[in-house]
Amino acid sequence: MTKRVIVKTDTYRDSVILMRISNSITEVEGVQQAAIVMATALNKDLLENLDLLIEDVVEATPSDLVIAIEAKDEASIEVALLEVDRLLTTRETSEEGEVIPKTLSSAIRELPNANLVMISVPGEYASREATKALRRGLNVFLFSSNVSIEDEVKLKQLAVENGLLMMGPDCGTAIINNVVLGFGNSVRKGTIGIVSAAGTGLQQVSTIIHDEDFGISQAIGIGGNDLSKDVGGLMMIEGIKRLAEDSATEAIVLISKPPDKEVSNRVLEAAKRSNKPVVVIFLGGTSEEIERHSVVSAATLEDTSKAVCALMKGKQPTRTIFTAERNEVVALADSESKEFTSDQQFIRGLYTGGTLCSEALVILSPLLGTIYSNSPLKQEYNLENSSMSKDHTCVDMGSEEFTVGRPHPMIDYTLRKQRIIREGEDPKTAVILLDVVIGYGSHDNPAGELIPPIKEARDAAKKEGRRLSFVANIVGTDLDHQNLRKQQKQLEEAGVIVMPSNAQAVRLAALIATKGTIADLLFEEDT
Amino acid sequence: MNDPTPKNHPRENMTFRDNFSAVSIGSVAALRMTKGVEGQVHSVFRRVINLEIPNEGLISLVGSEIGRGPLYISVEIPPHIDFTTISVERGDRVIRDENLVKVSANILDISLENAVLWEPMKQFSDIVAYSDIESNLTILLRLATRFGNHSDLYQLLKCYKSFVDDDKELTELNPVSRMALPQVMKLLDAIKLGNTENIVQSVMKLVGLGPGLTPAADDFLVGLMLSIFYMAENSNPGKIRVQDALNDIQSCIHGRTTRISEEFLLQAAIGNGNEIIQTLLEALLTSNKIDLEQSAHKVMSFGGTSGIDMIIGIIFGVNMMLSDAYTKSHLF
Repeated sequence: MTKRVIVKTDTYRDSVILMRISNSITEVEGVQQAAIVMATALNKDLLENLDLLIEDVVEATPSDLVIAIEAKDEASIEVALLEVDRLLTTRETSEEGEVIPKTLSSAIRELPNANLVMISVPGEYASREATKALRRGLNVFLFSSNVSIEDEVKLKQLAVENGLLMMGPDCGTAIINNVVLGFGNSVRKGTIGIVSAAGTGLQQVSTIIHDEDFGISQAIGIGGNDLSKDVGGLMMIEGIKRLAEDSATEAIVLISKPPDKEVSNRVLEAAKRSNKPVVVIFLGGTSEEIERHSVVSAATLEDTSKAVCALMKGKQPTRTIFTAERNEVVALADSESKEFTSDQQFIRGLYTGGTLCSEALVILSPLLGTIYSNSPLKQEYNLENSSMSKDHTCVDMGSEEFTVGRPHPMIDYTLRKQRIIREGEDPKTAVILLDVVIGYGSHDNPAGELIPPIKEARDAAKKEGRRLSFVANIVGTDLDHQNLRKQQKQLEEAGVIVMPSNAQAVRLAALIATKGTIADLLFEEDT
Repeated sequence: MNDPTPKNHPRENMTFRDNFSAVSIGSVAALRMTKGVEGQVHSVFRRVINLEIPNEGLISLVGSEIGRGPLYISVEIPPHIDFTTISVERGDRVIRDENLVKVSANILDISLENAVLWEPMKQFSDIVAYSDIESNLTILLRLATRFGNHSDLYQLLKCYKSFVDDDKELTELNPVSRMALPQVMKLLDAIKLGNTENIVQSVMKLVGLGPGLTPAADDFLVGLMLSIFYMAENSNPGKIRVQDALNDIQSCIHGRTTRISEEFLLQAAIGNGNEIIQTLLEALLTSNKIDLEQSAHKVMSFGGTSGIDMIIGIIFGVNMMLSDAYTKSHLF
């Protein structure tokens, strides 16, 4: 047996922490007894009774903390002491050891020359912190949601008055001076600027631009409500202005769901005034209004990316249905669907990205009719219970009902894994459609998370004489730390068909679910 | 994109202080933290900053969820704020400047403008009969027995009666209870008999004993002292001279425990307890519609084991007063 007694002078920790330390140490293998006490006279007697009193403790005062451990060997003591050090640390630090400030003022004191602050605090306090930041001359990236529209308007007006950016609220993604804020991907620095009211929309567009050998100058996230009537596109217009004035930006992309009509007009006028090539996607909207303002309209995120790259090359934008040849795609769909039972007919889209889910709905609706969702295109297609699919369904699993008290599904795959298995049990499920978003903020190994439930669902279906098809798109680049190629390989080895974009994945899923019967409809624009 | 901040923005000239508003100030804190007073930061925790005011004592800035107390300045702080991350350090200067408590140079301001004075209520209305107090105490004992087993003094509850009869079973107790139990027995007998010498001797063997920033036996004594104070103030006491006993206990606290615990003990000796303890005692002693179990749970969740240790002290204190004044009492 061996003992170690440490005195930490003038050390105060609250009793909850001391209790936690005590419980933690006694659970370390090899530790026989431990005492974590303040060095009062009676506690010294206590330590003496436990045969844990040493000279240093005799000299200690009631404001000193004594940690006394008796264990079977030195190794156990060392493990226990590491645990003590970890729990005694009062300041929350990141993995790199940097202090994580919890107030704006303390953050500014840590980094006085910062000109941007990322705020992620409970929604109730987000507006207050963002206002303080703007008043202090800081640009703001506001990750928090549950900020009222009224507050959002005030924040953005304050930002515009002070010549600042107010990204958010509910902004998940931005790339400023090649630094990713929130979720986002490692992309090449370049000359294409983006202003986006859609987080995974920004991610899909920026990564495809990267794949096309172009790069991003700035990608300004503005939050999902910016183009509503109340907010009036304040930050979209401000973002367009910035990119228009930015000498490093040669072309601009705007991404949003269809805005309010008046707002749309103001935004498009601003785009026109930029005097730079602009590509606009108002996902699910029509192109006429956009094209009347002499800017390019695109219907999908992929087309948006490729359109702006085409303009940069001085070429006309084209549409992409599939990058592979028709016969190849049709053959693939046939191979996937030939073992379907007669009941198997539905697509179940399980999305972590809200915009990607919306894009799926926009593409699938004209092809398949009614698509149910928890963020449907029409209210009548709203799922009664987001956890229970109905017919064709695409679910945004990043929405609030799935994320209260839990990490976002791009980080924590638990719910999606469970859902994959549940969808696989439904004898009517034909195709399970997935987005796999890598990059900053996302899980380190999404494929590793997805493969076990995919295999389980497949095996269970096989026992019942069914074959399940899985189609996915990986949103990411070769620079992302999850290793895109490796993720793709793992998924393909598990029998998942990985498509180059969400739009292509969605179309393929539709082709498979309908056993190829919609091929002509699908390809008619390509002929 | 260039730095979009306008060049003439006065950001560089601003000091970046965190500022919050106090919602209440305890009576003792108000007396100690008068205008112009200067002091020092004693200790910093996640939601508490303790301030040492020279020649006065400690007061505490606490998040409002902790509740009100005679030493507390209760502050409206968003739940995500952690005082340990805002660079307030032990030894930093504190000054009351008009209605602002300024903590550390340029770091933290607490506005007292809207702070409401809070004073502990020492006399209750609608005191119930002893038999009802005993019933309530039985409920409290049941709760403490069920939920308090993480405290080192928990064994006092289970073993009290048997150890009155048989000292040999002391060895089965954990080290803290083993040291505490004989002194607790001695203290209670001494209080009943008004034996100052024994009160002092037993208290000197209890103050500072046990784990915790406020050692377990100190919290027990806080509960004990407050319970006998409130019983004496509110019910028809027996022969116990409570005030003398409290004076005796008070006389031997100084220097024997942590600064923070010492302060709580000294306040308890004059009947000053936090609001959650006051509410629990009111639930025990009155027919005012206060949920006893709910208030007990609130106290039990205080600190690591501080709350449960206080409750154990309350149980012993009230039981002692009942057994003195009400011969039918047989809790243990």
